[in-house]
Amino acid sequence: MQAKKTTGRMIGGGMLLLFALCGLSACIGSYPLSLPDILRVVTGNAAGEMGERVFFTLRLPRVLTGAAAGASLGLCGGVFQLLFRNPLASPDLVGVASGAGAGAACAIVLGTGSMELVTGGAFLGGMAALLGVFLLVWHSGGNRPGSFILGGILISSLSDAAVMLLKHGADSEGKLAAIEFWTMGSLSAVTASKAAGVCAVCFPCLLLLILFHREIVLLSLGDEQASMLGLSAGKMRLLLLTLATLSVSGVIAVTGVIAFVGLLAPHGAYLLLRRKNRAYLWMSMLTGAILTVAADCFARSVTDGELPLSIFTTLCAAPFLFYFLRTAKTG
Amino acid sequence: MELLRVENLCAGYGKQRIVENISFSVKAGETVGIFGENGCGKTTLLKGIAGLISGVLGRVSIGGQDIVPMTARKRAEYVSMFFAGAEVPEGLLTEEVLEMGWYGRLRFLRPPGAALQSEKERVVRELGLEGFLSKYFGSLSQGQKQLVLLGRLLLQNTPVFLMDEPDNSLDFKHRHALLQKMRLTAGEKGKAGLLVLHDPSLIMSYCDRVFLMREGRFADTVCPGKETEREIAEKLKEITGSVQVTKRGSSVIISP
Amino acid sequence: MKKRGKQIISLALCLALLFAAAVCGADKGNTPETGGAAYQPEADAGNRQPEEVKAGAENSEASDNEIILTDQDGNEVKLNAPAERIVSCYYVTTYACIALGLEDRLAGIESKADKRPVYGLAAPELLELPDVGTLKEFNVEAAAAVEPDLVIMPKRLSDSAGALKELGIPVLIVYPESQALLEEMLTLIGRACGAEENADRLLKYYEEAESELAGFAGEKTDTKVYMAGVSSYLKTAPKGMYQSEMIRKAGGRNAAGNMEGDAWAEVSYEDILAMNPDVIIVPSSAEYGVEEITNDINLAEVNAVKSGAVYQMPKGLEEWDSPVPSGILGVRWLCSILHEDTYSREEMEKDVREFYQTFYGFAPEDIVW
Repeated sequence: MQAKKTTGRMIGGGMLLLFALCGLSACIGSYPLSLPDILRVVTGNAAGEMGERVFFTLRLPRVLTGAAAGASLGLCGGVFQLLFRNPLASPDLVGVASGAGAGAACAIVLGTGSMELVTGGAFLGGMAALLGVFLLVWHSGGNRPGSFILGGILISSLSDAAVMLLKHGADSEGKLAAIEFWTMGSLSAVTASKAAGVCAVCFPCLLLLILFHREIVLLSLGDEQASMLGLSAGKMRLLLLTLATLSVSGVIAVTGVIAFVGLLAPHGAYLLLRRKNRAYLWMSMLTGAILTVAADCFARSVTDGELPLSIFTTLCAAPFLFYFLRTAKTG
Repeated sequence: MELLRVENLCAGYGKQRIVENISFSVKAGETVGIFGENGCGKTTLLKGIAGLISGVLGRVSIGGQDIVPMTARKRAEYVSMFFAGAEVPEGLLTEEVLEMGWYGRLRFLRPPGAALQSEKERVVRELGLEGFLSKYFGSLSQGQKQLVLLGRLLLQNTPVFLMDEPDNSLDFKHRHALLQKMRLTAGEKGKAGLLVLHDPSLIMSYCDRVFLMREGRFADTVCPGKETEREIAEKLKEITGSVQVTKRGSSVIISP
Repeated sequence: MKKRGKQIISLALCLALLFAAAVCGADKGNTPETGGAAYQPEADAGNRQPEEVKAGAENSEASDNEIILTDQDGNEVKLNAPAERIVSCYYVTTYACIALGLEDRLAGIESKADKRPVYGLAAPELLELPDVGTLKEFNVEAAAAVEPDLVIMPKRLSDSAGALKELGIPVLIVYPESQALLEEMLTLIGRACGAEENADRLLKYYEEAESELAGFAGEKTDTKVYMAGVSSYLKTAPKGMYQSEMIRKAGGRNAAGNMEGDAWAEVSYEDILAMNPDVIIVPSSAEYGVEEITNDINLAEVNAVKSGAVYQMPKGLEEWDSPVPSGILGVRWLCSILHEDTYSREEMEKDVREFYQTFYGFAPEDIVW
């Protein structure tokens, strides 16, 4: 019973931290908006001013997108961890992220680059990458941590090659800049309409994934046990992976690839809770959101300009990967 | 009353066929054992019945219903299976593992009702699991784990249950407690149990009938209660070589 | 289990409510925008009052004053009045504003302004302006913070244009990748800012200069010119690039004139030997010097190296080899190299000084010729 109590407290604490960070993030930016200004804007006393428009079309969408992106990546990381039963499974390492990036780049260069098209391209790219890794792992026989990573590297390299080819073919003005952006992840181009797009794709997916928590945990026991307990393992796995990939793609289509959040968040959640149940999924989501919003605060405040988010998330990931490397030899 | 009926079952992996044309039936309240050398297809047979491998030929019916074409969810109402070395990831509490048993009986998103809760309490009491419900499953001893998995099977509450080497890595006391519990479950509740064990003494002692399996087929059947020591020894010879069979009460002791 | 379920559901509800509140807040905040001024004359809204009133006053006559343009990305740009506060997002548009006499109206320019010597010479106050980011990291908030009434940006920033438009800030997208497009851009900026006359004057100068230079070149136009790249001389300007046009107008022939493409193209030593150019031109902003080419033994057999005809474009002013308003001076400079007999160096230098005096308002002293 003790475990349950601390779980509740952890989640509550995580929520508070996330809200505090969101508040902080809303105060950071080049446009001068102080906390009193923001209060005035939120209470509707600053109607018509540029400050109000900046807050509602840039600041707030940015904070919301950051939180939604982090939540998506974190939850999908958690879902991947459970579904693949592999501590290294995450949207980045399995190659879904780079696949989605390549898909998005493809949509930008070959298509019109509209939001729907880019999200669609990202989704197709992500699914193709996932399928590719599955085939590779299945072909090599066996779900060892290594085989997923090698498969992921192979698929990621192929995706990167595709992006390079697209970059080479793209005209140097305009489109190229848009592609550059996928490789590093940034929230600087987020506006109200893009935030609405991200939320429209991510929220239903995340909601469904959370609602399917029983199924996700059952699948973490493996297909045989899950199907013996009454779950059509293959179909459910496909559905869950599709939802996860769709929500990751929705994020990547707008923010580009934010590295390692999908790996860090679930591991952080497990370290905090020591559980792999529904609470773990919630905590992965929260941790992902906290990480991303915090990284975005840093990205905007360290230099005059902006830095790509991935710099910070990768810096966070490096010590963790080192720790994993050290403990992996025993496990 | 006939509960489980298997007709002309063929199963295997890919093109390799391991189980060849097996037919048998099990009555309600009966525990049936399958005994054979390693690799003769016992586990494949159980998985074929449970619908865990694709491309199964033949018919498996439970209470007159053909379960082969059923969805996993529907099938989980008819048959459950016990995996001895079932892998459970770390980070799950014993209670959570136990409650997985009723997954197939829950509606999507609905919490378990009072009936299920009291059923769970009964299973917990019967198996003496009270002490470790809120412990991590991974922190339990092997015997305790097997007991929890048995509890999960009981909570699934299917008319037919399959057990693949449930005695695996159990100590003496736990092994007999588990098999006793299994036999009681079948007998008292009118269920049919199908059991794979490696120890001939155990299988002869706890089963009403034992199929001797060789190269994917049933070679013979033993009814330990009705046959003499010599008859049993004669039938076992093909698999175990010549053995000494001693009957003492309901138990059968087989020694080389 | 049951209890925690409730807890989690209530947490989820809280989250959803907060989100909904934020969205409603956004709606509430947005709706009064249309008629907000009418029912909000409170004191705390005072600081925006003058602006609104002014805009309103202009609006009454705006129907005649309204400027409608189509930018170089095909978007319609609508301005109520000539732009008074301009944000320029990269050096070409900043140069254009200087050349059109609009430097006083610039309210924000790109980062690293101190790297452009012309800013300091023509309008030192530009160096003090707020910085709105680079082409890689454009800062929409910083641009909004200077409250501009027009943002001029290149096509490759068009992604950020949407954000500015959502903020209600007009955006003029330009794409000056050839002389014709440069002239179109100058006309557009001139119209958007009510400086059509200055734009016309500049365009007229181009026209006259081009025909004058064509006269100097006469029939002798088959000198092969190799235009080396900025980062390496193993890159060159293919047919579709502005530099190719510059060479032609100066009375020469692009050595890479049969290569397709509109961006710096990689070439090998072999390619250069095969082209065998008579003249090699190094851009003013090149990351290497003339000596590196003349000392490169792999190029020793090339005509230009043998005859010592490797020249770097003048440093310390602008990038004359690119489509900037002073790009015509690059044509002048190259023409004086290719046709020194008809267009002497002294004459060219005099013309350059005159151009800067006329359009930029300063006399260049320390040019590294």
